[in-house]
Amino acid sequence: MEIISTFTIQNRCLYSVLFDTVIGTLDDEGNPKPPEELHEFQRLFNFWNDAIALNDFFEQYEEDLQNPYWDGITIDEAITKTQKEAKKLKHILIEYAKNGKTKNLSMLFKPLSKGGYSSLEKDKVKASGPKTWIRLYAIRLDLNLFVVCGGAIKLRKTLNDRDYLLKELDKLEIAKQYLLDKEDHELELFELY
Amino acid sequence: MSIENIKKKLFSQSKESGWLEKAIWSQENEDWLDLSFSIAVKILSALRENKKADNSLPKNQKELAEVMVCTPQYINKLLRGQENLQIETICKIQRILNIKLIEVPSNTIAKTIQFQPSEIWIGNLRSTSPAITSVGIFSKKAFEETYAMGA
Repeated sequence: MEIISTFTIQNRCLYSVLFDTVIGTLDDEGNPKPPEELHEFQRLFNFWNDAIALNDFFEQYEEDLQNPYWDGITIDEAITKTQKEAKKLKHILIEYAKNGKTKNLSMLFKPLSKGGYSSLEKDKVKASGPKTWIRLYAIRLDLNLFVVCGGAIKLRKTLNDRDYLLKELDKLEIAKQYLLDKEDHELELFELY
Repeated sequence: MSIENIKKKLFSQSKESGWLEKAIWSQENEDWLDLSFSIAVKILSALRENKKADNSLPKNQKELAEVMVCTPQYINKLLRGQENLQIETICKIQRILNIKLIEVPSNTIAKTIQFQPSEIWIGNLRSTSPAITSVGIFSKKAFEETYAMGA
């Protein structure tokens, strides 16, 4: 998997990468969309607003959904919850962009521990009230400069025991190498929400 | 490459995503988009239930397309939850899946009716009726019936 290009979401604040293997989203005619339109940030928002894709996802991971942590949520409720979370995030980002509150981006992203899960995240989820599960994963280049490299619906505590979550960690590493031009620098990994 | 150079490369080589424009459009159209999404979720739920039951049809998008006499592509588009659906289409799906997808709340009309004291003549007798004041909310049906009777 390689990165083809990068896209501007918010100038000088938020960027997104485009991988060469993007699957899933269809255009209005039901045909696969050209990859230019499916950089990670857009792909994730499309996914979180696509009832069929969400239905398939939650049917596949219904076992994770049945974890007592999610309070017996049904598939229908899970689909709606995801769409609502995405809508809330969209509103926040639109508000930031319109009002130039881009410095607040650093308040949305939290450091991602190397194992993909730490007590920090647990505390964060508890402190934030409602349990959210949509995630954007990004590399931080500056205090308020992030490059989105992936994201997910995180139903598990860690990123390490589901293929689709492990893939996100791989993507972060690929993006890191792409940005660094294969040189060895330490770039921090972050997650949003 | 230094962080400054990475930033320069990012700023100069990144393409415009157009995400903000799309996001603002979807925010401005959120009322019907949300409704369309809710309808899609309900249809998907009904198909899932039919899949569990032995004799119920349709069980999937393909079978729904067959019964609807439309293309599977159209059903796919509709079930993604971002389609501006026609009322006719919604009603057809309601019939096929035997589910309720939309409902319009029954009308209520707030009406203040005041009956002024009136003189009533009965033969040579003249009396004044008491003032009757009624304030209430009538259902449209009751309102029509009341006025039809009075007319």
